[in-house]
Amino acid sequence: MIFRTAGGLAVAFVIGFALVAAFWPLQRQRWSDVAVRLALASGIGLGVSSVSLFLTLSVFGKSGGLTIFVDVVICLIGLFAWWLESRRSQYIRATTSSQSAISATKLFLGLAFTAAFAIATIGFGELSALRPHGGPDAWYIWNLHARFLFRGQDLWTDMFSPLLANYHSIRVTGPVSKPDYPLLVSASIARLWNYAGGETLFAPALIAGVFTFSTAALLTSVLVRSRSTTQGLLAGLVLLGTPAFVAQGASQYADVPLAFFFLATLALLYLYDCSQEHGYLLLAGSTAGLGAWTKNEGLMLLVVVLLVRFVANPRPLALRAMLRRNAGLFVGMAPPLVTVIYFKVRFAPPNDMVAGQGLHAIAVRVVTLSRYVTVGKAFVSQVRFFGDWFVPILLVLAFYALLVGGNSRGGDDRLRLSMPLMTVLVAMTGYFFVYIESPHQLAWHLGTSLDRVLMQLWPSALFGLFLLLNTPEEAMKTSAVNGLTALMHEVETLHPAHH
Amino acid sequence: MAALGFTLRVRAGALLVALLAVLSIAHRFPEWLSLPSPNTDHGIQVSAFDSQFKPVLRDLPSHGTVGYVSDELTTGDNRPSFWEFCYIQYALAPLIVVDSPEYPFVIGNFHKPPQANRMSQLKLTLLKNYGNGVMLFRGTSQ
Repeated sequence: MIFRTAGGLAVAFVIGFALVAAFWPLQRQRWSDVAVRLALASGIGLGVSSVSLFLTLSVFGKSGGLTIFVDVVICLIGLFAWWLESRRSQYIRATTSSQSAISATKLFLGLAFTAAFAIATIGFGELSALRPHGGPDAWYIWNLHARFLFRGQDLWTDMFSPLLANYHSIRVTGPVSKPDYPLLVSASIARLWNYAGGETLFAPALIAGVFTFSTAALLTSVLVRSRSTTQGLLAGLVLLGTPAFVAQGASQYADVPLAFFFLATLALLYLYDCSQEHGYLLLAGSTAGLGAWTKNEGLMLLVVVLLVRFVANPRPLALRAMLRRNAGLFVGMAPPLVTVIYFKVRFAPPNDMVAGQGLHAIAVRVVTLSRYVTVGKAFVSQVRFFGDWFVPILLVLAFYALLVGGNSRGGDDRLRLSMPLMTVLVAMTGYFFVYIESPHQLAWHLGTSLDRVLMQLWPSALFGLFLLLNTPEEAMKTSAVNGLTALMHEVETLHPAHH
Repeated sequence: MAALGFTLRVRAGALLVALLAVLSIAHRFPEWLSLPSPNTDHGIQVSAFDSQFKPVLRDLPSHGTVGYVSDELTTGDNRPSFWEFCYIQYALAPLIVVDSPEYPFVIGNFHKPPQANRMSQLKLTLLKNYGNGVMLFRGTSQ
């Protein structure tokens, strides 16, 4: 059963890899390029195949062998697209590395990264073995929905029964099974059970592991590609060194998969802005759409990405020109987004955050000052305790940022570099106001979700920060140049006659 | 000299961040290895209920709604234990479990033997006792 489950994951990986490769610009191949593509492949593959399972089930009322057949067809289409693209494009192998010498710093960071990765992997395995059904939200939302999809077959829509929600609505928290939540994680689990020929607890743990470690791999590799090896290793280390990130991943919550798609979107948009290669834009659109197919918050993040992209533009363009310029983004996000809309319109009940909310009630909450104080305090407390670090990591990073300084490039470069962090800050502001508007008991809502919600943004925040900061090499070079300038100035002062 | 000092500080800063990251993940590691209390940990409880209710699932129809009864509570709150209800719903999906005895099949989840007169008041007929307080009743339709 384990091998068949792993086989199902391998098929998803091939689908993802072929799709990424088909749209990936092949002009300059570097090992970090390959690493980024590998990191993207599993998540995108799982996302695409979860859409196919949902559509198969909703149209034909069964999955099983049909899902596997559809997977194979998508796989072949992806491989064909990749083949066409690779024939058209010209491979240019990377020239010999200009950074062949391994510095002591790089070696130390490499060793530290390996150690953190090993501890995180073993810890993840231990937590998964201890709680194979995951944390409460995992088994009562994602794995429960997976059971409806897999066991229910043509009657899978029973998961939307008001009877299921009714019992729970007597609590202040509302229906805990969240029947309106999108199905990427649940459908991925049900899909692997189809491959395995039965339910295995290995499937949800495997999916959780793939998303957790793909996120770390993506963060590291995309920064290695865009900035430097040391910068990538540092960011990857901070993420892998975040105990709550590993623990939430092992809890099988959908926050880590959403974090993966948000990071992938920002990283691909950055690569597009640097190269103007439309493949990146298409892929960014698809990862943004898959984020919306993962969790409701993904829809908000998608809107935030578009908002920042359209507003923060160095040369203001007319709306039509902006739309034309970002057409690839919309094309990429269309398939998953249409699936989300179909799911929401055809099947899902209204979300408990908006259902039955009158404008008056919302307005009252928005103008209640004490809510701002409560939410503000909760956000500030995260500065001290975020990620379950034994030191306040945000302060450590602030100290490190002061030491190495920000990248001094100006103009478009500066905007490109600061766009991801700007997006994260806007998303965080969005979450702040979601809490202000929350119809639930505020202390309960903050206590049960704020750390998870912020974890959705954490990998992207690290990407944005380390993109913006000087790499250690840049900081040292800057200091050397400054030192030389100071020395020359001193010499000039001591020997003015020479001039 | 100043530049050299700064270079060292940058290098030390990067290494410090790396070291703190390794220590941060390492300091939680022993906690992850230690077993939590099986009575309070949802992850362990849900596994136990999932195994316990597997035989019940075989005796029920593959779809539809089943009722649920639990111990009679002496307090004003007559809701069953919220978490136990959730574990059972999870175990029995895609069946929908409703906190009511007014269904053709009713699941019993008891911590002490149920009193016969209460069961007859609820018009429940025992179909099967699975042990450990897990029972299946025939109830009355709504």
